[in-house]
Amino acid sequence: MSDNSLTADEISLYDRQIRLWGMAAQKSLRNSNILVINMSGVGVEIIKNLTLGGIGKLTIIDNNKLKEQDLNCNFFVEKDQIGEFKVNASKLKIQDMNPRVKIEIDNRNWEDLEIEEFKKFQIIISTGLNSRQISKIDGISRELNIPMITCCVHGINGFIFNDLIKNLSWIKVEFNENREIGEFNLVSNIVKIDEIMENDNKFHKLLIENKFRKWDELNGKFLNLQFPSDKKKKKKINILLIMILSLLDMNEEFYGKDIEDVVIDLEEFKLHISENLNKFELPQSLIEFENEKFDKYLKIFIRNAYCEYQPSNSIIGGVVAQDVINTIVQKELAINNVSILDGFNSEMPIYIL
Amino acid sequence: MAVDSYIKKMFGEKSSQFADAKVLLVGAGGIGCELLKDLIMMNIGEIHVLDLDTIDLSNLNRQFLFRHKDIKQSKSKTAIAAVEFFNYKSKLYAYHGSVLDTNLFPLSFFKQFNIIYNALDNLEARFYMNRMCLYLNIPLYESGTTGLKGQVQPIYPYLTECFSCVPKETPKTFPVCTIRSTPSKPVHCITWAKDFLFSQLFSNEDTNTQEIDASEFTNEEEAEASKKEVNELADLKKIIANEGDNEIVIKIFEKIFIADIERLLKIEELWKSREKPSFEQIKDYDHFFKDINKEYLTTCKDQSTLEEILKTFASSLLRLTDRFKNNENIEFDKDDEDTLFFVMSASNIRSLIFNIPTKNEFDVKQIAGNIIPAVATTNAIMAGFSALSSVNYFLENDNINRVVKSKMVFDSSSTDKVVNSSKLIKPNPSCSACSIVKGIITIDLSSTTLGQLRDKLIEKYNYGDDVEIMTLDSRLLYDFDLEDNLEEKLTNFINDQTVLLINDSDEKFDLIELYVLNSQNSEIILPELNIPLKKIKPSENENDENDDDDKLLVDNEENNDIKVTVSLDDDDDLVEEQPPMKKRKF
Ligand SMILES: [Zn+2]
Repeated sequence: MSDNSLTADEISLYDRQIRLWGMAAQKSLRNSNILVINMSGVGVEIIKNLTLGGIGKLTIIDNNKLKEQDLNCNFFVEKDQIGEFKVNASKLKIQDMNPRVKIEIDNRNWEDLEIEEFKKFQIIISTGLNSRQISKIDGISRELNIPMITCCVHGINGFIFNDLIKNLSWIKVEFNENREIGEFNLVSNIVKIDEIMENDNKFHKLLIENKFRKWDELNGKFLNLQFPSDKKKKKKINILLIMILSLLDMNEEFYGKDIEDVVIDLEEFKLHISENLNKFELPQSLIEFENEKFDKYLKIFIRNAYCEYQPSNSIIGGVVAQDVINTIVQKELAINNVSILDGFNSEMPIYIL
Repeated sequence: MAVDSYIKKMFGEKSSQFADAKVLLVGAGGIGCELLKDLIMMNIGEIHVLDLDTIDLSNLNRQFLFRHKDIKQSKSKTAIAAVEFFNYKSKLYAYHGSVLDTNLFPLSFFKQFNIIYNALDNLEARFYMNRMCLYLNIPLYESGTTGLKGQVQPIYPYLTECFSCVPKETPKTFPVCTIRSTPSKPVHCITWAKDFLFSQLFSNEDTNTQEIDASEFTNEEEAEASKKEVNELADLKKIIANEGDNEIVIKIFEKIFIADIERLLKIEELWKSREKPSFEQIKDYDHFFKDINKEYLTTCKDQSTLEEILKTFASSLLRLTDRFKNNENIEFDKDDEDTLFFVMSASNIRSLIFNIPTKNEFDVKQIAGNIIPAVATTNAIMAGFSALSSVNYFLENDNINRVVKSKMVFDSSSTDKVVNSSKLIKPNPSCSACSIVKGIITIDLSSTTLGQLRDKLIEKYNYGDDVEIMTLDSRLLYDFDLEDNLEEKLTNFINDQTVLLINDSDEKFDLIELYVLNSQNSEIILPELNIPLKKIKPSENENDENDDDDKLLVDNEENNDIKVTVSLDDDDDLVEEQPPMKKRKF
């Protein structure tokens, strides 16, 4: 089945997206096998988008049981399923969206899996992990040479980290006769240049090789190259980046907890902020703890921490799913390597860490 | 713990702002399904969903509330039914109908909403909703996507750019002579087959009414040839109505693909710098017309052989002829196989004659049907930003603060951001929609005289002397010369939904537009309007520079409390990308 070409029914069903990425890409989607760790609200969105898109097989692992608070961010479950494993409660409705996709569920703790069990996946997606867990899944991903994406939502804010290891993707850009094989930006190279004509206009199609960094090896080298002066750093680096990285560094694990019990220890949190400013070679003055404005911002940030919020889930889930699809079909550039959703300002900057 | 635990923690007391709101979602398609889900999970009090469309198979790759069994059902009603199991806090209402239908949705219908979210797929409805929101002064969250591109624009009437402030790109059109005489691309042949040939043969409109403008052709000879084609096609229509199958196919084929081309070949000027059309590739046509069949070949969608092309032409022509004879009103529809196959095969025959590459069904359907690529992810992202951006509406107490905090969002192709965000921009002072302040007047037309209306206007808006009252279609109802009308009841002049223009006789205040809502036994209720001072036309300004300076100053001050231009960074090496207004497609 998997090697056959698309059926007429599939072509009709996926018509509007085949017109975007082509038949061959749709076929590679059908042959893909994806893992989603943790069915948080943003996990739900990623699952929805990938299932609609027609990937081959989707495995979802989460050992948490459905709580009342989940009802406001999971549209695959009903109230009377509270207490069941989240994945079991959701399976039927996920499958119902697209019967062609093979949906598998697993209600073990993903940390208990043997490393061999990850081998069959083409991409590993995870949501709601903290730093220690991201480091662990990234280690597995590196060991097996499987690209990984992790993301989370904290109220109106969000976070995405991609470690796609090393990949190739085609992009279409304006024609430029001076373009040469070689550096494209700090973390990617042009390895091939094709010329194409579209509606009488000449374009370049570039094959880009993208290199990603391990979670454990993130540092401030690229930020320093891009923004050498402190002034530039203050202007260009959204402090939300440091805030979220520091939130993930908290010792306590919050995913799956009752939101009323999520209490962020402010002293520990501020310590992580200082550590991260050091780690990424940023001036301590980037964040002024004594500033009244910052204090107000901090309070809102803390209130939003570990809250699921549907609009943010929808955005982060859309961006992550598109990065997954792009990675499979080798088109467009995935986030390299961190993006944050700043819900206060409707912004999504990308940083090279 | 409760269903709304997260929202309570995030927004505290302000959570009730969401619960108390009543919003309208216009469109339950790609963005609409996503937005409906987002709004429900934001626990908005009342959500009304409006759509005229029914569900199609090709919607199911992204409109996640619809299933195979729902095909042909109403989008709005199916969507509302589909979300019910995960809806805990919102009251939901579905309407199946066109937003443009004033019987179903009079202006008074839109009046009840705090915010309107647009999730539309066409410009006409977008412009219309934009106007409605201007009359009602309701914030409009506008959004759209095409493939991986998309944008969200919050519109706060008269404070920010409205949907009409920036001209929109109209669909690309081709010169008449390219389509009719000198095609060089597949799209030219497809346009010819669909807009000229198909409509000439099967449309019920009188073909002779279509005038040809000679100036659009290379020379008079060409215009004359074209005119002849049209007249003869009218004759062919008679053939279709009266003759047998084989005659129809042969006669029509020889007329449009042989005789008409021969006529073009005689106009030498056309071929001086172009390759001449040639019959070489189709010369064996009669061989394929020997056994004509109304059943399509199984491989007809490929269009890779002359046989596939010609037999598809014959079959589709005959099938359409049968339908035509049954008095069916046939219109081109990309999902109507006969019409699509006819356009596909006819355009491919023309392509063979003009030595242009032929196209298969998939490609012809896209071009002829104006199909726009669409994916779930972009819709989810843009719906998410529309919903997220509107959070400012609920958290802030007045429109000025809402405007300052809201952003316009659009796709980005640069590697340093996932989306572009820009602050909202002030309205374009020469915008055809929002440069004239609008409002609604509620009035009992049968019991109120024109004089009473005039007096009320002068009293409410502090006009210095007198006003002129006109209708939008330029009928003058009252000025100081028309005193006689003052005693007459308004029913003698205007109806419900008439739009009135009120002009200040002193020329101090700018024109305003009032939309009439007729309401029996109602007092005259005039809207609260912030009427700007009369704008000075640049040409007049040059002549008497000093004269109106103080007026201008006041004018500027009024607008100054919302300084909402894009801020430019001083030491910025990256120029902020501007919204893709001009290339915006929907
Ligand atoms: Zn405007």
